[in-house]
Amino acid sequence: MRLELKGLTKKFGSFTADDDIDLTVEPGQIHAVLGENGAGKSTLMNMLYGILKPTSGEILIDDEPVAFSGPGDAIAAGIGMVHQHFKLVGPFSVADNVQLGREHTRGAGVLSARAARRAVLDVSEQYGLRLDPDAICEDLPVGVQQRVEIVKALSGPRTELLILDEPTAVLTPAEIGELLDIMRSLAEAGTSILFISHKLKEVQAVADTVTVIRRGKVVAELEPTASETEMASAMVGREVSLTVDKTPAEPGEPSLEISGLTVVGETGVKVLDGLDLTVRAGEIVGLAGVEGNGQTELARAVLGLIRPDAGTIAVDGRRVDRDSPAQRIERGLGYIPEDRARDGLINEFTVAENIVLNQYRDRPFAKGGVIDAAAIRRRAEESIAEFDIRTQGPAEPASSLSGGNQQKVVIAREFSRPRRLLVAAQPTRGVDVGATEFIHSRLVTERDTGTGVLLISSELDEIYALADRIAVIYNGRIVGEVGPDTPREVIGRLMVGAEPDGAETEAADSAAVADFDAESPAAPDTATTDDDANGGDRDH
Amino acid sequence: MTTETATPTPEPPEAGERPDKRPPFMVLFGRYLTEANSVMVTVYSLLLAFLIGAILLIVSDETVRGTWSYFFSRPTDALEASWQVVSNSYRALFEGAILNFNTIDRMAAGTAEIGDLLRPISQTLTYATPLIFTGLAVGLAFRAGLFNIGAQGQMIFGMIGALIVGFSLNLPAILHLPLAVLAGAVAGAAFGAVPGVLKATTGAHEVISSIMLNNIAGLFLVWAIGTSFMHSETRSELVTKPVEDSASLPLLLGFVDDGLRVNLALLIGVAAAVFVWWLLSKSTFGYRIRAVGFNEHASSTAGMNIGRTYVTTMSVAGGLAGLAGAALTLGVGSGGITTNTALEYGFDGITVALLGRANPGGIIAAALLFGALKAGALDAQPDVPVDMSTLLQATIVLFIAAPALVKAILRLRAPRGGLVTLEAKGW
Amino acid sequence: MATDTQATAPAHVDERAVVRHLKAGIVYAAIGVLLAAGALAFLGGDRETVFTLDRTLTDASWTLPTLPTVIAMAAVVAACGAWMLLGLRRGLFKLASAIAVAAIVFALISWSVSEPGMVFRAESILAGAVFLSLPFIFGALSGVVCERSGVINIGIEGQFLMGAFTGVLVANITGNVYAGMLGAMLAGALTTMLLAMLSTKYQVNQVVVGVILNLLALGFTSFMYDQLKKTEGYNSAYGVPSNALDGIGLGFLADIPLVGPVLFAQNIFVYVGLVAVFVVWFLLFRTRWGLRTRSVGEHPAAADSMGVAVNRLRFWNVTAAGLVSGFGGAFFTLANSLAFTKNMTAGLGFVALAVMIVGRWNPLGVLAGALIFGFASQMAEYLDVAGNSIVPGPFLQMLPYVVTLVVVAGLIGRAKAPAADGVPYNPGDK
Repeated sequence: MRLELKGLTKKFGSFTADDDIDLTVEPGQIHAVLGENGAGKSTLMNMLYGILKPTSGEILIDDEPVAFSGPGDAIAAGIGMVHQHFKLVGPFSVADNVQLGREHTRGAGVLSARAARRAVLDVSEQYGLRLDPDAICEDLPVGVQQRVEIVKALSGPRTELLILDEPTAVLTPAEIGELLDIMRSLAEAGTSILFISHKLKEVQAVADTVTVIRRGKVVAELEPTASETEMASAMVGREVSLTVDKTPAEPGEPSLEISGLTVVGETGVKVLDGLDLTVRAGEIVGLAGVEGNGQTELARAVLGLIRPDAGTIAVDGRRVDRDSPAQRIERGLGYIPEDRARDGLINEFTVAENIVLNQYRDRPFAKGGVIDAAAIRRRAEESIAEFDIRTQGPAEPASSLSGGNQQKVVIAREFSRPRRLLVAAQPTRGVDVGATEFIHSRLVTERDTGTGVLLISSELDEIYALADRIAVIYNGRIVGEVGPDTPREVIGRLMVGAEPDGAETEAADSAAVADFDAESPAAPDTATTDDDANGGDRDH
Repeated sequence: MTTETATPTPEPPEAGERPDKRPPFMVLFGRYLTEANSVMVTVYSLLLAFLIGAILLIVSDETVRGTWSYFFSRPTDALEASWQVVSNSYRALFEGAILNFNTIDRMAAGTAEIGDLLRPISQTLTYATPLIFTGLAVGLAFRAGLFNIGAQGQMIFGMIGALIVGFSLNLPAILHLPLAVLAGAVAGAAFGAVPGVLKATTGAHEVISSIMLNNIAGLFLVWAIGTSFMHSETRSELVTKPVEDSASLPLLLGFVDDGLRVNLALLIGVAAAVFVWWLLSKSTFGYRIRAVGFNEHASSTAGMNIGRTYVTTMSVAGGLAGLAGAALTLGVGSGGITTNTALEYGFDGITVALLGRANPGGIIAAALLFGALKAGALDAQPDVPVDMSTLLQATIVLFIAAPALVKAILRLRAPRGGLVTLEAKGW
Repeated sequence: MATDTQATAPAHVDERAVVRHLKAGIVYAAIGVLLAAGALAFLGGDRETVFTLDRTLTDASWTLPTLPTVIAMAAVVAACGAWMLLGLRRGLFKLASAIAVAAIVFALISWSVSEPGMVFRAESILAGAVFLSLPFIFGALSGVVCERSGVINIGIEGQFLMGAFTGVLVANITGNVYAGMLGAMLAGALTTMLLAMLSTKYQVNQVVVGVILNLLALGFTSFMYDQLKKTEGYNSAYGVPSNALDGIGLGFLADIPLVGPVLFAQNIFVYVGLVAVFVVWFLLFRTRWGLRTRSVGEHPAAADSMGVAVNRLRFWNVTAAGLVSGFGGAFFTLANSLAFTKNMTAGLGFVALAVMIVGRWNPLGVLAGALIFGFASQMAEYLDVAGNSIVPGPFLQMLPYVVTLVVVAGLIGRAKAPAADGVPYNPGDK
């Protein structure tokens, strides 16, 4: 299928998400669309897939203009899409997820389970994507869920164009390698692929053509052979500083000691399974791992939002297991939650109210149970100046701020009170480059003042840039603690649960990683030595 | 989570525009009128509800329906009869609630006193008084993200609490009355805490548990009135002993006419509204209530104890509803209470809180409006069905809760801050 | 290139592990001891509990000595508590709880019907329990269809009222009780259509609007009741034949002991209700419509991305659910041969909501839950009418509400609602 976009534009009110986008995908071609978060990639794909209606412009399939009134039309036209956030119905089986919207029936609308199962097996055999049609999707690892998504996209009546929207965000390095191989073999079989990404290495590894968009506009058409620096600067619009300046750490006494921490989840699975971890004052420990291996629960357990089933947590040498979150906060625990919108901010509250969210009862913000609004506003004004929060004023609602500035509000809250330990979960997620740099340098300053920092990040580059020590979490356990100059593939293997010198899985894994890394000179890269190679591939 | 979802705060239309560019006042005003901001949505909700009420009056009236059957031969009959029934009904509501023009004539003729003229207003205030309390009880909980539809039950326990202290103690009024009022508040608070505790400890949704508690409270009242401890010693029907005079609420207009029933509870209600306003906007507890109401996840991450906030908020809400019960019990005079004394004040509190948008000032205004409806409907019987007031109330708040519907029906423009409405969380 | 991501599976909790349940164990043990102590203190040794089949084998009766029965049951309860305290396999905890609860219920029944002159009329009581479970069945099924589609239907009470009122009105106007049933269904559907429109097109908060719709239905039916009562002949009682199977020549089935009166001597509402349970179950879990319905209730964005029109499906499902709850409303008037009275549903629509939760959003679970609530209501009514119970009448009438409270408190955290239940779907969101 040949796909052509002509002058495609999407406006939300006064905001233009996509502006006059031209793009052509030739049959059998892997066409990468590269851009930062918020550049307009997902909006573009949603228009292509019929979820959003273009404000203006044309979509042509094999030179015929088409207009989709919904995803159903796009599917009928031969487009399949794998969404950034999986669109799988959790409690459904694989077969039910795949047949949704085009069910196999025995007439009169009664489902035929056998036909649905066979259809899944047919597709998965055809493309070599192993799947159990009866497995329940929410029980599957993310890598397999993604496979379900691909099979779903390929199961359309005639899928000739596959859209992959940030497909690697939640995958391990090995799974990423596998996915890239699948993409190549699909393209060889004649399927056109639109590959949306902000990861330079992956784009270089598979794409035939690269289109870079920034702020809703096409800014460059590049060959995949273009250098990383070239791609990165096209993507972010200026030369990016790739380093975080920092001196070697001077670790002191332990500020966080976790031992044997076990948390049993709702379904009876141990999400944390006897986890041990120590963070010393004055060091940044980076917790690497694929998302969903217990990082969220670990952070919440340290704050006291979930009660562990076993194990102990000590902050600054004192057990806090029986303390409430408020008491732990009072004892000097700083906490940057991974989901800012849900856990970090109250959208309806003003910037000022948000800045004192965990200190509103303390002097000088309240006396005798009565709020002192003037004191709160003074603190807010100080923080706005110190942390360069772009807002019209402390009385604006937090919802009026951009993502990066919202995160600065959270950071200002945590950094403007005495603390001994900082747990920072995905501190730069959804934050623009400028704010990311700012937050990174603040985290290092924080370390240098003697606070212990536990940095939880699913972005390996962020970990490499900041951590003094790297711990790898897998299935609720720390499976390795390594130095900051450990090669990527070693950490990659730890992240999938393979022993560093493991026997049988190693061959396959290292093959995947090696294959994936073959086209980029990235490994080994560390925060301090190999900045350029590592640079643009930073997630925001 | 119940929150007032307004993406940024709605600003007055002129805000942010430069004075030199500012269009003439009438244009701005016209724009304001055709915009779905919260003031205009309220106004249009009232108008639409009265319109629907009028249609129902016409449709449900046997005689009027008869005239519509020959509409095409003689349309004037139908229109006239319809106009008659609607205008008579609404006029009767007005006369029962605000001012009766006949009374003015009778006063001129010397057959009526000033007290007769004030009676409708007094009735409106009397019916509004418990609504202020129950409206606050629902509204305060709303702010914490709780949908307290249990005000009815909390009020019933308030009645029982105030009654027991009211008839069983023998004290000077200066002690007895405050004590009886306090007993009502405490009993309501204790009962109100139950759904809070259930939600905090087990996650049981407060809507279901408070509905069940309402039914339980109603049946408990039936039983309690029948016990020898509480049952009237002189009357055989289901009525309790009366409260002592020393525990009765003094009438506010008794010096004009002792038939004017509005009493001190009205002022207590206004004081309660001021208290709730202070609580929400000035106290740390209120800060916590609002934080939890907007986003419980962020609140607990900031160290707030969500469960405790639920329990305390529901207790305070229950206490406010209990005050409604105390106001009823201590305001009935020499009668004692029956199973009917509570009417539907607790449920009406839901509509009051919604119309008042969970703001204390708005709640007082809404309570006055619905109190007037109730006074009018009761006075206008049997010409107007007594449930006219319930119907109008529910219709008004339906529109209030669905501003998008009002916007669509009247083709209003979207306001800058988005539509404002109150929300409650699902399971 | 195949890398199995499940190199090490997550550690599961062993179902066979022996676990102690301190809280539950203490509670059950205490209940057992208290029950026994209470029986010894208050229950005369001469009390007897008599069970009869009162409709078929009217001569037969079985008599149990009450005191030993209650004490034996108390011992069973206490034993279950002790078992939990000492530790039992995780999988057996539910079994132990079920045994304990059953023993408590049996002990309480034995005790309460042991008053002199009282008899446990098994057939009447069980038949009554089935009959009284109907509003819960219809209401909860309506709730299941709505909530599986992602719309919270807290307005079942209002749909009941509309159905109850309209059922009688239409029956009066047409003179046909079946037309009345149809009218009730349509009234229910019109009511939910309002909810459907508001929750899909206007994206309102479904809990708030649901509660308001209840008030609106209450106000509307009460208003119309007052208006229509001015004229004769709009609100006379209409009923259906008390035994529907009689009409089709199967009346003899009613003579089977126990089963006959309970299952084969009921009016048409019972059969419609039982059939509806299985029909809804089949539709939800075995058809294309059901798959799509469940998908829009769990993950509407996923359904949308596969071309399912989320809001259209929700709209029609919620509207159709009103047919069921409207029919349930007719139970209050037509099935009982009663005229309409104000607020005659008395909060049972909310109890139905609790039944839906107890039944875990599954029609078969709803049937089980509804029967339990029907039994509780029937026992309360039976003991209340008998009049010489040790518990005052109002407290007996509280029983279904208290059971709901206990059940909701005990279950709601663990029973999982459809993931997108109550969340309006706006295709612009991702």
